[in-house]
Amino acid sequence: MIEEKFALGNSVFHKADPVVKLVGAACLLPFVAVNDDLKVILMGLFFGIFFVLLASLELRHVLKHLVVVNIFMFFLWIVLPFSGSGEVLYYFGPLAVYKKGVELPLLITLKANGVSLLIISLLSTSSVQRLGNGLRQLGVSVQFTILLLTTFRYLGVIMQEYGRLRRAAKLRRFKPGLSLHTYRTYAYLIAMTFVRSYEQGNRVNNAMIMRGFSGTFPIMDLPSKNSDYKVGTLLALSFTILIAVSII
Amino acid sequence: MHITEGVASLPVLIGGGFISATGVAIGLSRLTQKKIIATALLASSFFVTSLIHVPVAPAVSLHLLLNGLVGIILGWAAFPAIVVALLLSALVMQHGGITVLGVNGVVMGLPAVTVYLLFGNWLKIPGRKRKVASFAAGSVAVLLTAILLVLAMVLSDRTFLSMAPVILLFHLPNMIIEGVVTMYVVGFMEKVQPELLEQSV
Repeated sequence: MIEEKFALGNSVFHKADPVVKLVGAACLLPFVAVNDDLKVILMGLFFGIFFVLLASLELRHVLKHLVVVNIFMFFLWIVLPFSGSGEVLYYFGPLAVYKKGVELPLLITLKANGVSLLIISLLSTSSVQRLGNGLRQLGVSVQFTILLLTTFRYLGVIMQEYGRLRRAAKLRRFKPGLSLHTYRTYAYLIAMTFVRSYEQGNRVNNAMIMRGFSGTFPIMDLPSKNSDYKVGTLLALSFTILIAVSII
Repeated sequence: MHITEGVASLPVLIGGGFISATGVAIGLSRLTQKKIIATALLASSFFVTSLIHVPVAPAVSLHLLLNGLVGIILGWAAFPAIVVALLLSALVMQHGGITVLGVNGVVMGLPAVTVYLLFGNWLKIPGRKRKVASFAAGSVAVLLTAILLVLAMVLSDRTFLSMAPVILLFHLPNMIIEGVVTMYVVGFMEKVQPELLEQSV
């Protein structure tokens, strides 16, 4: 089972209807992601941090997730500052550090972290099942949603399956190296995972049909609660502030 | 390979979103109700197996893309399967991103469908043609992915042009290995579950 660490909690974000959070995310995330205005990006980062704190999420897990995002940033930082043309900020030995080569990774780093924090606080605070239901309420196709929910549901199962195969290979002294044997073994592990998941897929489909699955599932319409209004107001306010900051 | 949040400019985001939405719509329209659950399980497999690290040099390993393999197995349905896997990847593991889902969908999904269209016919012929087609599908998918990745970055900001050679070079060993791996995977499926090679829509 995939652990949805951030989905467990009692904060106002956890209790709010996913539809409110999805609409809020749909406004906030792209606005911050495509903006080149440093003020807006910093404000977006601030909101990300603020929402994560408000959602009382465990900071070490949040930081672990941010590490993943920042690994890619690291690659940008080692190449971009030394490339390009235009104004030079300073010289690092024989290499020139260009202004444009520093601005770009800086903006992207701030944006990526801000947007990731917003995603964690807004989207990860609901389970994928609830998010799927929310997507249905917003009009996303039932086929896509079933694909999404079923894929997620079986991630843990397929991971365990692959784990079993990998352990079996290890028990037979398989040690990865630079050889055709290694690539062939990995290929067979991958192939077996696909074969087993395909067979399981057919079994699951038959089981669902026998329980009345007709290609759709009912939309769960949750009654409105206080947390919906609170989060809705907070997100609307945040979006307004971002727009205001971008105009100033 | 995919880009993270904040890398793509607005036009690239919108263009990517539009192309991905079209690809997903075509894929879903060709998926019958009978096949959708099995497709989801295969998408799950794609997610899990794309986390596998394979050694390419002493102390260096990289993870396989496997979009070529998914393309030849699922056909057009590979597009929605890959987009779903990317969405879950962003939500669960922070790999890639949500705002750039459309762009990443194009970068990973378009090569998958392209290799299916290019090599799908030869894959149906057992023997050497199937071997060649599966190798080609695996390696060409990685090449197209690298090209689209660089395109997405460079169209967003010209400064990324300096990273283009690094990214393309980095994908070269990946191309060969994925070609070989895809060839062996198809060979295995041919013997164990040949029905799986006839699932493409």
